[in-house]
Amino acid sequence: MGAVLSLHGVSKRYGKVQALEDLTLEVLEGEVFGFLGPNGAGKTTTIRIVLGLISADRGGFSAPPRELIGYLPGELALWPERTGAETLGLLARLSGRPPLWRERLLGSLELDEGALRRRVRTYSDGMKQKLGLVQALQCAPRLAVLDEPTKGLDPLMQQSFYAVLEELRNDGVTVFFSSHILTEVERVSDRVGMIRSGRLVALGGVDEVRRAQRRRVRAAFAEPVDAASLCSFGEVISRDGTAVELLVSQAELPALIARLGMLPLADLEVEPPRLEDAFLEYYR
Amino acid sequence: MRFSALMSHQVRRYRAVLVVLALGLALFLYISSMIATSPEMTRGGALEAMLALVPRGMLKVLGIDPATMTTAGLLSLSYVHPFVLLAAGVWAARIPSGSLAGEVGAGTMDLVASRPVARWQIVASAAITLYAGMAILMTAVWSGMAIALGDRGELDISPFRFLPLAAAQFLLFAALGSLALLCSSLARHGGEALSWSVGIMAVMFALDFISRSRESLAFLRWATLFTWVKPQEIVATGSLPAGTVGVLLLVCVAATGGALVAFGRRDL
Repeated sequence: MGAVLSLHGVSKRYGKVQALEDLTLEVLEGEVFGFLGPNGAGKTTTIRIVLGLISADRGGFSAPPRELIGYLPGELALWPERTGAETLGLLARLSGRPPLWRERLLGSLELDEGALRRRVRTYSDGMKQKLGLVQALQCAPRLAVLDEPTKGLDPLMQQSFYAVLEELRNDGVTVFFSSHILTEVERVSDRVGMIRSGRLVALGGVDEVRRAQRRRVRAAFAEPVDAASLCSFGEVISRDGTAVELLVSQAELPALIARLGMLPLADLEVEPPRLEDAFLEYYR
Repeated sequence: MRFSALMSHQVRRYRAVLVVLALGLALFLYISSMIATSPEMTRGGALEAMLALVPRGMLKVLGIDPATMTTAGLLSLSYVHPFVLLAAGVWAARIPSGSLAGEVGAGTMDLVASRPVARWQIVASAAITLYAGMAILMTAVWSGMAIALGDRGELDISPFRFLPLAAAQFLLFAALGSLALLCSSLARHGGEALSWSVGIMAVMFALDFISRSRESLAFLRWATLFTWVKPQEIVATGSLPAGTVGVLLLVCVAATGGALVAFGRRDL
C-alpha cells in the first residue's frame, strides 16, 4: 500500500507559538487514520496545510489533487441564506466532479428533501454537521479529510457516521480524521497518530499503540503486604492496606505475576491496555 | 465551470442589494433631475439668484463655479450628491469586504479555497462583481436622469452629455472599490476590511473638501481620488479628461493586482 498523504518535516509557527515542529507522517491508501491530540496540539494546522489553506514554514507534503480531496472543517461555517440543496450544488460545482455519492449519503445521514429545501440558518448544529459531511464526501473523494467529524452529532447519528466510514473504507477511500474522542478513534481507525504541542508523539496501529502502553494491574491480598517490594516491576499508583494498583509494562507483566504468586494473593485484575491510557500517558 | 460557480455565488449573494441600490439611485436621479429642470428653476435668472444666496467660499469648497453654472451644470451636481456617493460607496466597500475578508472571517472561505479553485479566481470573481455592479449603478444613475430629461422634452439638454460623467464616477468608485479589495485581501474579518475601506473613502472625501477650502492646503488634492472628477467641467466639455481616466484606471489595476498577489500568498 502506497502513501496517499505524506508530510515530511513540516513546521509552522504563529508568532511566538510553534504550532507544528518537524512533523513527518504518512497516511496509507485505503486506511482510516485517526489523528489524535488535545485542543491546540496542531491537528487543525496540519489539516489546513494539507489543504493549502495555510503554508508551512518548513518541510513539504504530497497529497492527491484537490479535486480528489473531500474536506470537513472543524469549525464548519455555511452560508445561512442558502438552502441545503443550494449549498451542496455550489460546493459540488466548485469541486468540479459529479456528486456521485450524494443520494447515498443523504440517505445514510437521514437528510431528506424537505430539509434540503430549507435555508441553512434554520438548521440545528447536528443538521449542519450532517450537511458538512455530505458536502465533503458527495463527489467520491480519494482522500477524505475530516476535522472532528462527529462534533454536534447525537449518539444515533454518530453510529450512522461510523457506518458511512465503513462504507468509505469498503470503497477504498482513505480517511484522515482528527478527533479528541478516544473511543471513536479506537473504534474506527486502522492507525493513529498522536500529536502534542506540534510534535508527533506516537504513530502506529491502534493495537500497536495500545500495547506499547503500560497495563493497569490491581491486586488484592488476603493480608497486608509490603507494596514497596513491587516497585521494581512498575509504578505503584495506589496502595491501600491489602490492595495495590500498579502500571506495568507488557514486558514486566510475567515477572510481576510470578512475584504476586508468592504473596497471599486474593484477587488479580489486569486491565487490557486502552488507547485512553496511551493518550493520557502522552499528554500528562 | 468552477469560475462560473464562483460568479453565480457572488451574484446570488449580492443581487438583492444591487437591485435596491440601482432602483433607489435611478429614482433619486429622476426626482432630482425633474426638480433641477422644473420651470421654476430654468426660468431666466432663477438659478443665478439661488447661487447668489450661497457664500462664495462655500461654493468653492463645494466645487461649484457660479460663473459657468447652467442647468446642465446643476444637473451634473446630482452625480456627486451625498445620496449617490453613499450608495456607490456602500457597493464599493461592502462587496470587496464581504467577498474576501468576510468569507475568511465567517469560515466559509475554507469550503471554497479547499476546493480546486485558484486564489486568483476568488479575487477575480470579487473584482468582476464589484466592477459590473458599479457599472449597473452608474447606468441606473444616468438612466434616471435620461428619463427625466426625456419627460422634460422642452429642454434642449441631451442626456448623452452626461455619459462621460457617469463613466468618471464609475472609474472613481471602481478605484475606491479596488482599494477596498486590497484591504480585504489582507484583513482577517469582514468588519476589519470594511472599516479600513470606509475610512480610506471618508478621508479622501474630506481631503477633497479641505484642499478646496484654502490655497495653502490645495496640495492635499493629490492625496484624494475625488479630485479627479469635476462634474461641472466634464459636462461642460462633454469629454472625460485623459488624466482622470489614466489615474483612476491605474489605481484600479494596481490595487486589484496587489489584492491578487496578497490574497494568493496569505494564510487563510
